[in-house]
Amino acid sequence: MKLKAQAGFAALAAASLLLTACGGSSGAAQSAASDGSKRLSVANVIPGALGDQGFFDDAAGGIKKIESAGSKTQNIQSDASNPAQWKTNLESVSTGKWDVVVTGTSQMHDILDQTAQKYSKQHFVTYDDVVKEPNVASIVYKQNEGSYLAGVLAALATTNKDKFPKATGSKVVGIVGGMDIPVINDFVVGFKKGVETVDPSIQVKVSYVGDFKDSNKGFDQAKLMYSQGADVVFQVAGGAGIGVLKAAAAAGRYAIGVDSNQNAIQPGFVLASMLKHVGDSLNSAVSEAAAGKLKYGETTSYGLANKGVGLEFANNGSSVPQDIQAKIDSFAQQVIDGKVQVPSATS
Amino acid sequence: MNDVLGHLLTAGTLAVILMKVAPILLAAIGGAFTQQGNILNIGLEGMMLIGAFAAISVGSLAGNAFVGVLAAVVAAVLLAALYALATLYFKADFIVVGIGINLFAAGLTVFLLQVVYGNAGVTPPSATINLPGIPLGPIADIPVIGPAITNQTALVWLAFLCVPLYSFVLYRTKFGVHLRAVGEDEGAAAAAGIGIRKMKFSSVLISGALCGLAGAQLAMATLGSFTAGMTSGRGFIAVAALTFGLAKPVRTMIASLIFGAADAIADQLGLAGVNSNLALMTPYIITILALVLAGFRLRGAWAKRTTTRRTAEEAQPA
Repeated sequence: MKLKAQAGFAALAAASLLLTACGGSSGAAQSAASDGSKRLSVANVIPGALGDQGFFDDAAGGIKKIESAGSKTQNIQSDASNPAQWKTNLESVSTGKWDVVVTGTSQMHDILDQTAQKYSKQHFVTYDDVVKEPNVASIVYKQNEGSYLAGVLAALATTNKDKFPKATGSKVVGIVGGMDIPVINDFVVGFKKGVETVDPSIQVKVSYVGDFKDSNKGFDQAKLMYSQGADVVFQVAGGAGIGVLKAAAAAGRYAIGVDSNQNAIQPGFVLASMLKHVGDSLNSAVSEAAAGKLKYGETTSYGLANKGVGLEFANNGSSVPQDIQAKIDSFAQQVIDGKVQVPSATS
Repeated sequence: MNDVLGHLLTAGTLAVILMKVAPILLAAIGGAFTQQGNILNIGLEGMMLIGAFAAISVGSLAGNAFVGVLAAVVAAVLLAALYALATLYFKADFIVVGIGINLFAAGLTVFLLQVVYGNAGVTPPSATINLPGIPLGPIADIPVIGPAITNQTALVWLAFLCVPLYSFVLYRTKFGVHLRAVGEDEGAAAAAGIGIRKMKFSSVLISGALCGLAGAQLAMATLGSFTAGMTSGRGFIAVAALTFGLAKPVRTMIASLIFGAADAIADQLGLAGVNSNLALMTPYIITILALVLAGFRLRGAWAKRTTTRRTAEEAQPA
């Protein structure tokens, strides 16, 4: 019985090896672009599935750009709750057949760390996480700088009620976070700094839902903020934040979205969404790698200066006038020029 | 602190409390039904979740909130039937199947979100459906209470109506008496000719229907959309409420009210700048305290029940 089982395993292992080999050979080509510079083949291992309208979709968008520039690419999706599968997927593309293997988020941290050691000749790029291995280039995003702009926008909305018809001029704004943890507080301190830079007399209300899924609690907390005078509430609470956006519509005030373009979820009530431009950052990382300029073993921060974070105004029903957008850009420029230092809750 | 008190004692807060209580109360009454038949139904969370999803997906498709509520009830009753089938006919453990029901509902709703809407997190803006609030006209002018109860959904009213209804069914109908007999002493109930499995099965189906209503209220009252895992532990709070209330109508309602109020207070405290971890803990601290208190009482009730049974056994001729 035992022998039989072992034989079965061996057959299975052999079959999977064969399959992996097949998958690899099809992606082996390193095509040369017309300008003569080397086009890198890129595999993107996703610890989950596409369609999240957030990180993974954005990353896949970047991969698509890389592909349309002439590279061979592949997105490898997986079961979002099956880390074992992520590991097999990552290892299967780490055998040197692909020039660069892209993956990301802190969920992949340990898996990438192990795989990078095991396949020390493979080059990796990871986003929104730092893996300290000599063959891994890490990309992180300065959410505090993006939130700073959200703070600037919120402050401008509550102090310019002639330009924002749903604002009351109460000089109260709020932020609803998912949990009281460093990465969320990085948003909070950035937001506060942005508000303070515009007008220090504006009051900032802060609350935490306690998780990232209780949309009813998100609604209740935001509703409370609006009832206490808040003109704009910035949500950094994942799924629970859907309730915050709804509360804005119910109260007839404004909200600011996050992670993906949420402007159309409550049309006219969501001023903008603060995004981390994962796709663009991957695109530039791969270009740097092709030019031999990408430094493996180091971390690149994408902030306002290199357009890694920013506000997205598309589909917001023109609720933010052009001159206000220009003003926000000037505040962004101050950060880029180093005139304003945005504090951080992570370091 | 005074500021918090000022905000707390407003009609707005009372309205929020009623809204927060309604889904918990509906689910708790549902769970109380099964508890009376001696089943601790921890699958409330999952039944509520599936109800919430069905309410939004079917309701928005039909463009009718009532159809949504109906779909929620049907979906949750189907899940409840699965629970009853596994436990009553295939003799699986009630707790284990309850956990299974919760996991299944969480997985299924995310799967369906992905398949139907192509987004595993939330239903899209195009699939929105809200339950209308019921305006009360001149009654809304009554100070404090008026503004709190006007524009609440029909399900909020139904939730509180369920309390006397439950009481009536439990103490004034044959069904209620039989159900309690099954819960008190299965052997005696069987000897009296009561179909035990049938009674338990119907109690589980009733809990499913009420959880469906709870889910519909949760998803359609304010949000009008479904987000993955949106029940967020309310089913378990309902279990705590009915345990604290010893599955009795008024006590279960009081327990639900306590949790709803504690939740509203927690929001206020958080906004007032109290340490967020402390504020978020408030409802759960109250839950634990309540459960400990109920534990004492339950033990008292159990002791009493076993003594009476023992004396009855002793009295029996050998």
